Amino acid sequence: MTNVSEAAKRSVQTRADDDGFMLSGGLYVPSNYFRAQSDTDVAPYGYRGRDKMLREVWRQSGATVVASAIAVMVQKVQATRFIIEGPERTTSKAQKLVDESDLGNGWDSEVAKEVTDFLTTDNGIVREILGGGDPTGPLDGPILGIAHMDSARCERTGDLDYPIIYYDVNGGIHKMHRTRVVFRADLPSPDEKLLGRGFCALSRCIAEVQYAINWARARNEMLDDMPPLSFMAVNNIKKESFQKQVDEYERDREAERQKVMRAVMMFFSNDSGKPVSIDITPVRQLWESFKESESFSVIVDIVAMAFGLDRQELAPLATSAMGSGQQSGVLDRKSKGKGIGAVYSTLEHMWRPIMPKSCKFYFDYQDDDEDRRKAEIRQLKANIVVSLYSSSASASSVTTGVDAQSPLAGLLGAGTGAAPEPLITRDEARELLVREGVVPDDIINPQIGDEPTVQLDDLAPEQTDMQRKMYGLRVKRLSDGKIIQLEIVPKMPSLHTKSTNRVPIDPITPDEIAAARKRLLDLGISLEVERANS
Amino acid sequence: MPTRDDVQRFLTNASNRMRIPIEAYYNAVERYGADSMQGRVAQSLAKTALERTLRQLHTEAGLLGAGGSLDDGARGVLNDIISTDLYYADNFADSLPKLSRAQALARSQMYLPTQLSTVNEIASLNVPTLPIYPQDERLICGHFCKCTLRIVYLFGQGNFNIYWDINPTAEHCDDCIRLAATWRPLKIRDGEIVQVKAISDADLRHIKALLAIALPEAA
Repeated sequence: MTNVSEAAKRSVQTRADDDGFMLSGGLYVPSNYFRAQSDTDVAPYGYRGRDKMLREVWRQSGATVVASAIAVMVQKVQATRFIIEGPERTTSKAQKLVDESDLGNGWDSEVAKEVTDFLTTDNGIVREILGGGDPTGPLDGPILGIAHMDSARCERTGDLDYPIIYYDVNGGIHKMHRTRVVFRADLPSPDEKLLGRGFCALSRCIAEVQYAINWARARNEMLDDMPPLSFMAVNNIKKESFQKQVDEYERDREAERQKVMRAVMMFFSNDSGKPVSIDITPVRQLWESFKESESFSVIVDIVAMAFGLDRQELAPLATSAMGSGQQSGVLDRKSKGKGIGAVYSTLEHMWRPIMPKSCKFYFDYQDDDEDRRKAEIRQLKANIVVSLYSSSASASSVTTGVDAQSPLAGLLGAGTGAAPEPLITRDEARELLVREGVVPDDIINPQIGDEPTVQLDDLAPEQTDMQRKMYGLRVKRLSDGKIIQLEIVPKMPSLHTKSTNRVPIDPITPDEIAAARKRLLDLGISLEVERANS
Repeated sequence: MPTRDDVQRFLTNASNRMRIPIEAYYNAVERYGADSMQGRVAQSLAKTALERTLRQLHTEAGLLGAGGSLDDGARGVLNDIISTDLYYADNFADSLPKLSRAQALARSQMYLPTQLSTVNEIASLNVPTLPIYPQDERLICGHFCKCTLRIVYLFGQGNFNIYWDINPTAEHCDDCIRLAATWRPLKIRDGEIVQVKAISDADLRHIKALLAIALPEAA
């Protein structure tokens, strides 16, 4: 029994109870169905079917901004390099798991589906772990692969052993054992009844998405040659006469093969003294002082906020008045690690129960700007340490501005006219450089680098040295196939190489070999090489 | 790759042959004295005999490991092994007057693990570098390891199954027991090590219990 199961037995919470699982999926279901009034309606949070509706909404015409936000996030993750770190042979197998994910479609396909689910469904990502054993029971044997599962077809049960029920396309129902499924949602709810259901980015801006769709429809209606959705009052003409004239008009159009309304439609009144008039009152119309550019900007800001993106990733700044380059840079830094960082962190976390214990999967998502900033900070720190150590004229830059009357003056030698003595020794300077992260510690203290750091599966921890030799040295495998060795290749000692104590001898002759062969055969020793039959 | 019985037969024969020059020296010393002319001649003869015996034994060990034929690479390795071992053998021969017969005989037997190492080393020349070999100093038993490698050649290039064989009638360290349990076999495919057997601590305890039963009571 795992530690989680053992700990759960001691919990007083309902969700830790192993007497059975909640078939309702733990959802608030005051009624079985939410009846949508339009194609942009979405069931309230916690209702069954909400995720399916969310999926349909963001793909509709008009939801351009949110569709772009989702595409930006997905493509960013697809383009980000990942690294698998661990013993060489084990990482080779782990790499295979990643490359063959999503039933062989590959990592790009898997990550696109998972990130889309993370952003657009409250249930979040559900990933199936493929392996031996009864598919309805625990995993038995090594993990053979992973595959994305349709989150909208998965329900959370609240059961620790079977946390997910999957409804397949053909109507079958499958209980998923906890060793065969990994799932994560964005912003999991603390409400116990919701069983960790999340509140995805799309949910956070659904009102703006619906608004954008309706606005796009209204704009399109204004631009096409059909009358807008409206009330029409026809005066001084009877309904039958009106309909008859409309039918006649349609026939004329058909005869002329006019697909688009070109000819003007004419109505004739039955009474020449009373002219026909038509009053149209549009139902859907924008409010006074509506400005499209401002409205668009608001939508972009809200969607960017919900997704944790910089707004410039969705739309460039319209005018300079909306922010200088520097402000944008600050905004850029603040947005980093929010939306996209949460996605990376979630995907990394989901690999932990799947990867071998000795391996680590992570994204290499520090960009050049981030690296440059870190290098600048390290350079600054290095300059300070060098100034403290150096006794050259440039060291006086440390003492510049120090008042001769200040208590520090004597310490720093300021105002004395003499060259200041170094404040720290060489060893202290090296130690400072290590502490500030300017120089790695295994360069300053090489013996630290000899510590074995490999922890492998199945074998006892005290066997780390042998494990390393058996499974290969620690490496970093990059997503582009490159391998970076993390440990120095040890020499494999053997009798004939480890000792330099030798005496000169004559080489072995064929006669000696023949004589040796004869002696062995006389002893009854077989000299056949053992070969397998298959 | 020789069977365990073949290796045991070779080692038994080697043990006897290593004793012969030592016995001959001490027989001469007992008769004439260590400082006599005959004693010094006997020492010189013992040194020559030791060199010749070691050269022969290592050549046989190499043949045993190589399956009957030694290519140029294997011969080069064998020459290195012999030249190293003869350095220690010369020192041994020079120190004979200071040792008792029993001490010298015991020391002569210490060359047997080296010959076993030669069998393994020559045998594994054709396979990719293994993580560890018998008699490796990183093992708990180190140079005194009595284990052997059994290499099964499979069809195709670079395909082998390697077994770490322990002698059930001798004591073995925990490293060797674990290796014997996990290299069942160590699979090499296309020149790369692809698999060893995973075992639990319970399996190891069971194996140790079986080995304890198999050991002679005198050990």
